[in-house]
Amino acid sequence: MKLSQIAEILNAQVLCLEENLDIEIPAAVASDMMSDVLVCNDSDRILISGLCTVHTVLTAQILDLRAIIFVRGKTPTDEIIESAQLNDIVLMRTEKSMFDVCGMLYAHGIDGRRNLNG
Amino acid sequence: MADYTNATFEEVREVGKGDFATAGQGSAAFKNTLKKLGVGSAVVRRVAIASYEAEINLAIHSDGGKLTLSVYPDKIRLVSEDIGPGIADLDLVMQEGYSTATEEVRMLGFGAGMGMPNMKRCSDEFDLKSAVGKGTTITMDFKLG
Repeated sequence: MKLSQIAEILNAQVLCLEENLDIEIPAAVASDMMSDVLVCNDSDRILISGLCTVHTVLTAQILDLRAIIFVRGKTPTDEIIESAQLNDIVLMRTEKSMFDVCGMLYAHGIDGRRNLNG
Repeated sequence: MADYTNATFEEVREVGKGDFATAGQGSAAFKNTLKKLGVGSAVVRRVAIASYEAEINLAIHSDGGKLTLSVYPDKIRLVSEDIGPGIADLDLVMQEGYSTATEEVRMLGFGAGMGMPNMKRCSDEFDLKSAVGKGTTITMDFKLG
């Protein structure tokens, strides 16, 4: 699914790199714990998180992830947005809960792919 | 693990005790270096993940230490060394979910007890040595080609 469709489904606000919204994303990982996210060693996921710090962007950068959706209305600082922009990571935010975001995207065909141990 | 000399490239990153805010920047720099050297993206990502985990661990748990990235013709070696406090139970730290991280660290998204097992998972060879009161050395090798 394209990032533009994801943004539309979630009624999410795109915070940077609107020009990258035609990227296809087949899968997702959702967690507030970056330690758990770092176990997913594949780059074709969107990161769904309520953790809104520089480490969220750094985690996406290390994993080559292309986009982050901040849930529960979390709003990143300008520093976080700049860092994402610099590293080619699309940022979005939505007022929806993580549970709702996961449910809505799953219903539209996005899945969790491989589990932690394959 | 075997000693290696004559790295074709070496980069060192110091990590201070409690240096959480900047932890990870060294790994991002390592990642850029490896990309520039033409290392394949899957290997680069595995090294970057292991390095980030090690860097976070140094900031959270150690009294200070350093990460050294060495590139050889046939492999990449990543070494994390600290000056203490050392790990008492080496089996327990390899158990997924075990963590001694503080609530403050967890609030920042780390301390899920996945760091050490994830470093082992990402690397082709993994060696952990530690002595309480002295320090911990983690050596990780990643094969090239």
